[in-house]
Amino acid sequence: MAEAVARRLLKELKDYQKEPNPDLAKLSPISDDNILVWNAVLRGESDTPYEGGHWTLRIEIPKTYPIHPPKIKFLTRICHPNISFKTGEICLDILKTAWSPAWTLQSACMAIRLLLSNPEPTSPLNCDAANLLRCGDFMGYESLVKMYTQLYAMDQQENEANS
Amino acid sequence: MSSTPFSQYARVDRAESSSSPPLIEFSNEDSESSSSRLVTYDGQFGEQLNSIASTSSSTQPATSIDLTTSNNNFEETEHKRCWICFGEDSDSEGKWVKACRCSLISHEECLLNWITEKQRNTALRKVRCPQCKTVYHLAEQTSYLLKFLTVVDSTIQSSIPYFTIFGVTFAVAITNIHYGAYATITMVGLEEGERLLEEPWSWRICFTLPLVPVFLIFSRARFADPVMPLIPMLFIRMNQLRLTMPPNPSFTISLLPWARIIYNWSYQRAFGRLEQEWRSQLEPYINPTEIENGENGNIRPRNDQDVLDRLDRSNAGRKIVGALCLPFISAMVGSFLGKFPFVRGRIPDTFHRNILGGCLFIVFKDIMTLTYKYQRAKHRRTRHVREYSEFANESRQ
Repeated sequence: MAEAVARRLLKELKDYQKEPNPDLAKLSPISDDNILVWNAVLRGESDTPYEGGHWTLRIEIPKTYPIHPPKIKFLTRICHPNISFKTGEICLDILKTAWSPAWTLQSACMAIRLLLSNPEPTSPLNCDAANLLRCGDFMGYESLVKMYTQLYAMDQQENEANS
Repeated sequence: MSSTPFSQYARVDRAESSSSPPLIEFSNEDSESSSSRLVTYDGQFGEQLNSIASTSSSTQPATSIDLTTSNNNFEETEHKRCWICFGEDSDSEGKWVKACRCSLISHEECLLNWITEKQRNTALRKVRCPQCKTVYHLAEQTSYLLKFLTVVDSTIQSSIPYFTIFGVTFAVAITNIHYGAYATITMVGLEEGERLLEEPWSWRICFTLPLVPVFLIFSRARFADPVMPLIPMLFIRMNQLRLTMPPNPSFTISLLPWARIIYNWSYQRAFGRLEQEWRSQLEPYINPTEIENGENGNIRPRNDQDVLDRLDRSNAGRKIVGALCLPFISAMVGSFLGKFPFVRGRIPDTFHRNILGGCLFIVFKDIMTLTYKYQRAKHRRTRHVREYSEFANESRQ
């Protein structure tokens, strides 16, 4: 089984490297020793309050992948109704009940990126952000998101560039 | 979460993949890349066949072109890739299967694993292809016994919550019946109690016994005032309500709620104003007429009664335990009263002695509470803050 996981993950990596995704700045295992833990870097969609931000995702892959979904969470702090502000946990059905092996790590990351611009305030992990949306204060929501994007997601980019 | 992100994603993906033609690369190097050596993935995989077309088809719905090209003859296409394990002809073994009408093909083993996982909790669930939604058809040897057992198993699985609710309710009812029976025996005495609770039980006993603790707790709440006098009607037959001297137990029981109302009312009349005064001395910063938030967050006007009652109201547990202990305390006081020949002569039966004991206890308790409140108010009145200069020297010594 472990061999099958490794084979599939290596092919996914190969696919990504062959045709890099402009929206996904990075997608690779964190170390050569362990292929079951990956890092990904999302680029925020333009024309959204997330524009210009870079968020690091931690992907933990179970040994039973792709029968079971990978565990994905945000390492960079992000303000979004369906993402926990403290832990970075993501509330997305394809990472839980709606998972199917047809998804790949790359497509799951892209789904998360689309979640950013399509929040679902009815099942929130970040109640403050969701409440702004639920009472229709889009301006307030966007400025809040923009502020956190600048505070956390842009600094990181600079740090990476510096280091 | 809805499938919004998914559908959007699928749309985006389709747009992208339509712009890029299917790209199939063949390699001529060795195919010994079973990938078990994890260190070798960094760019050493040119030997593997790689098909962007089949990758992107795994995340996009099947189009009509897919159907025509891949219909029935996937065996003939040179390049196969399992949509589950991504294994290919060259690097994987196992029987290939095309189980749906879209272009996805997989190893039979992989697909069976996936179907088993989807059916883990609901064995009868139909599993569909994630892309074209074709229901996978399984050829399997199903005996009638297995079918029957599967139905039984899933029925049990889904009925567990109801059993749990039933069990908890049943346990509460049993507890209540035992409490009710014990309280009854305590109040009327062992012999009389055994005669009363002798089987078979009439519907009155079956109905009333589990409600005994509920009634007792109700008797401590003011909102029950209008219904309390009606409660004895539930379990007392009309023909038992004869006016005799001394009154029979049924009559006494049905008098108790009225006695309770009269006692509370006269207590209120006699000490209500006094208690309010003490309360305002203890907590002068609370304005009795202000509106406070009720337990449920509803705004309710705060009347004088609530202010006086707050010491009790603040502690629901205390009220409930007090109500449930009342029969046993009554019996203790009653048996104590029974030691006096004078009382024994006047009130020969245990039940009435216990009722009297309970009443005496309540009066005694109220007197003690009143005294306590008075003492506290007095204590508060005599309190003052000492000047620093008064005790500055004391502490230095």
